[in-house]
Amino acid sequence: MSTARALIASSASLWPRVTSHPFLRNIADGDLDDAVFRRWVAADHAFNVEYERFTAGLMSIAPTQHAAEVVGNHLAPNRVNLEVLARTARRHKVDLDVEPGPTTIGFSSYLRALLTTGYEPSVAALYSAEKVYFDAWSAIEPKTNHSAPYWPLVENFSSERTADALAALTLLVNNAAPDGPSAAMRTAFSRVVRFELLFWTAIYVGETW
Amino acid sequence: MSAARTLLAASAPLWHRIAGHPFVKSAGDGSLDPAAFGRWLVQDYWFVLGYRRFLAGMVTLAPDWRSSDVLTAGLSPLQDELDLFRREAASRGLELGQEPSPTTLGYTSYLLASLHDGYDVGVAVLYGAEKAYYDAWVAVRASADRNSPYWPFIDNWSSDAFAGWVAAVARLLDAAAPSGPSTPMRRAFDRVVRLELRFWDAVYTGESW
Repeated sequence: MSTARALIASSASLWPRVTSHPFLRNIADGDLDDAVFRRWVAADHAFNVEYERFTAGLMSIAPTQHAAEVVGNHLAPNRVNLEVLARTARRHKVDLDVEPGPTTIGFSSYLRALLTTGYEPSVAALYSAEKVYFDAWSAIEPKTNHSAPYWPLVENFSSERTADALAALTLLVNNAAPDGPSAAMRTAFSRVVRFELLFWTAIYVGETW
Repeated sequence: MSAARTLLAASAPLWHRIAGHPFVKSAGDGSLDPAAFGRWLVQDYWFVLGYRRFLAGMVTLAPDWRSSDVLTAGLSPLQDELDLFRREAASRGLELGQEPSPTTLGYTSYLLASLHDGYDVGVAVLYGAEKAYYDAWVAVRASADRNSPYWPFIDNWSSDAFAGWVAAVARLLDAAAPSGPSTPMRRAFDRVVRLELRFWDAVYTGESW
């Protein structure tokens, strides 16, 4: 079994929670509460600003030029995410400078802190974040109403460009640990999935300090 | 006004919550639920492990040998703290190696991630974490039951030695920002105090992924 598959298998019990999260279900059903939508835009923008720094940091510790290139290929789509979120925020008058919630800060800090533990756990974390996001949004993309205010976000997160970048990242994870994932890689992968679930829950129910 | 005093003044509303937190108060009067104490032992052990890495990272960022002397001096007592945690955990049959809670992982990650933001922000983070801890425990020291199982911990973090360390960190902070704290320093300090409060909330009430 490849390293990427082994990582997914070791967190298999979390995956049904990813694709059936009520936040995503509401988006697919077209009945996402406006307050939740607004929290999502602000929190996801704050997260992606830090995610960009994490990705750039991972690029800086990549062991080869090829690895740096594959990781770096995630910067451009992330920039597009930020632009789509900023446009959406302008259109719906969402304040992007609001202080992020504790879960957003915890999740994004976890990724940046992980860089101090080296390339392998960090690339497993990047793969986890990208895989969860792509699987979640791809699952609801066919059902989402194209005239919904959040359609541009769903479309962007499940695009073919995202799929291509994820496929290249999968190969990179496999090459990083050809004999299978280390314990540190498994821990990082699983924690990112769980943080992602908490992130959606925090947006869905609202979270304060 | 010095940088340290300015930061404290800006976060004054949070300070009342620090000294009056039910976890701290009940540990002080000995009424703390042993289960909550057990959760705290496990989570704080994890926190100190992450904090130690953060402090070591601060040593690598220190701008001169005087700052380095102060920061390095803070590392040695952490071994005694970890040994105290291990003894207490062993005597209570607690497993210290378990997965940290989301709040603990987020908090320690925030400390480590702040190293990427440079020395000035890092020293504001360090001061926030240490000052909150010292002020909380010193608030209950006078009335604390010396025979309570929680006394060794209260005694450790309200001691003159710990007060000296916190004062030394305040001087580092003042030297780092002679014209007053920058906006990133203010934000980081405030977040650390809020993360500390959430940490106590989490151990007091229990938290899971």
